[in-house]
Amino acid sequence: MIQVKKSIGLHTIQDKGRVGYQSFGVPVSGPMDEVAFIIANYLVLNEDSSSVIELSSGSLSLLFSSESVVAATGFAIVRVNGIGVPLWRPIYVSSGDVLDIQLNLSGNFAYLSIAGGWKSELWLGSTATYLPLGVGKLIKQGAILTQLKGIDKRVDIFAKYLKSKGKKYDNWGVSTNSTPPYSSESIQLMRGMEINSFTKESLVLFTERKYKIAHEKNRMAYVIEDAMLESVDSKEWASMAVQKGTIQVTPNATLYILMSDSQTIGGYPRVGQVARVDWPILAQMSKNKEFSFRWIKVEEAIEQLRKREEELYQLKLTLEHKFLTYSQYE
Amino acid sequence: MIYCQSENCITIDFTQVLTEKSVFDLEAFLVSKNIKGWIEAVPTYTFLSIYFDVQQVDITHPTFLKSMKNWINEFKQQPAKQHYQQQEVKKIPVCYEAKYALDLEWAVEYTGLTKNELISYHCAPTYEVKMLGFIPGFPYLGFVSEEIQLPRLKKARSKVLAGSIGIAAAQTGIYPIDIPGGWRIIGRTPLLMFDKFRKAPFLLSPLDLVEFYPISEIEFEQMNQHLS
Repeated sequence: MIQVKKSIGLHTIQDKGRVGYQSFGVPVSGPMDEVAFIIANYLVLNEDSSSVIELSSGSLSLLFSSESVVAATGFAIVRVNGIGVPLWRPIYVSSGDVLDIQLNLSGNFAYLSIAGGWKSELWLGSTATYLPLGVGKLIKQGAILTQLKGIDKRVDIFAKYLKSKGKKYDNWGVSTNSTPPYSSESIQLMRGMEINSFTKESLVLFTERKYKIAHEKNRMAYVIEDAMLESVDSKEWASMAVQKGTIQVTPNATLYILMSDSQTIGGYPRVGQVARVDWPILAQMSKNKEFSFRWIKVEEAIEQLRKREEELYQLKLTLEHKFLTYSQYE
Repeated sequence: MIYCQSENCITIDFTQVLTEKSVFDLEAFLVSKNIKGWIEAVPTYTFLSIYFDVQQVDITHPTFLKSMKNWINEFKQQPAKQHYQQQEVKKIPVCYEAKYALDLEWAVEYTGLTKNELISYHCAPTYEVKMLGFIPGFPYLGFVSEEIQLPRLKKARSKVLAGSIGIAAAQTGIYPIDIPGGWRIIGRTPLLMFDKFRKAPFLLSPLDLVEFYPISEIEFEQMNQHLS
């Protein structure tokens, strides 16, 4: 059992997302940074779709009344009983431990997984929080959290080892080689279906310019003001499916980059679609960072995505092997 | 005709397919083909978008695109189906009284109709749920007659109550939750369009048939399922 001693900011439960209800207008939701999310699960040998806490701004303080293994990923500072512990590593916590996790301003989101996954109610097959419908779970002060399943046997042995050595973590974790290139200043875009509704000159400028995410940003969309994209005419467009990564352009040339809680249909012309491999970089883009857009073909985006999925799968296997090396401590 | 709009989504431009059949017919036809990697489809007025599992299918692969084209051609050659015959019509009660019809007085002036005429026009057709979206469970119902087509508000209201019935151009719709909105509000239904605890959380599905009927303020109170 885990008690939320303090919760400042907006922290929600997310799983891989809610699929199959987009024709009812139900967003997919799920983590903003899907790679940090999934690695958080891999680090405690959870299933890919297990529920994780997503932190956005502020901090969270948790009191554990039983032992467990947790992992924090993304951008945060984590302390157990006031002592700093690393991100991207499995951490052993024992009864009475207090874990503090605070967002670090170089990114926007952090993820906290627990061996067995956080327990949260399913709605339409998913625990993903979507606040406009009041579904999912907000992590509020005073709440009691529990695990959905028991700890994986291999992780349990690892916990016993750390306990016997009086340590909170061992000397391995996921290195930056396996995390998204968060410092990248380039976001890859596929051409949007209405790209020809913008003037050629303004499209040239579009990829030459540097952009910053405006103050207005949330799980539904990131906004870029004054994009200076000029429309050829003021035509009205028929609504059609939009998804995470779709960039809609409003008549005043504001870009709305749709994110995890993206609406399912939209009627503004779309200049582009952010390549899925770059979603984590975009999600974690800090407010003062400048970046530019670069065109790629759908084929390239698919190739990059498949490569990333393969790398994540290899990472999962590597971590499973790591845990097996502790079998002698059973 | 087929656009790959992302790594996992294709969009079929229906205006280039056929007009006497609906986007829903195409969706049903393609579902019957059990296409590998199919996750879900999102129909809109003139487009059908389909999401696929990238692990299972490469939507840019010429073989995949060729079979999609062949299926669409096969669909074109099929006779149009009459799928409404046994379909139930969902009757939605609407209170058109001023308390709930924030723009009705304005609409009376705009259209030159009387209040009762306007209500009759709104209640006359059997509407079809053309699509749901913009917010979860918001049905776009088509179509209202020309006489009562209303332009959107210039500036959206910061809060429209759940159950409010709006008109925007040729469409009428029902707000499922309290949310900012720019449609002209002409009434409110006491029914919950969305209830997360209900087995079917959304009262309406794509392709449903809908009719409105007027109720009084007292009837609204008796049937009221809203908390506010």
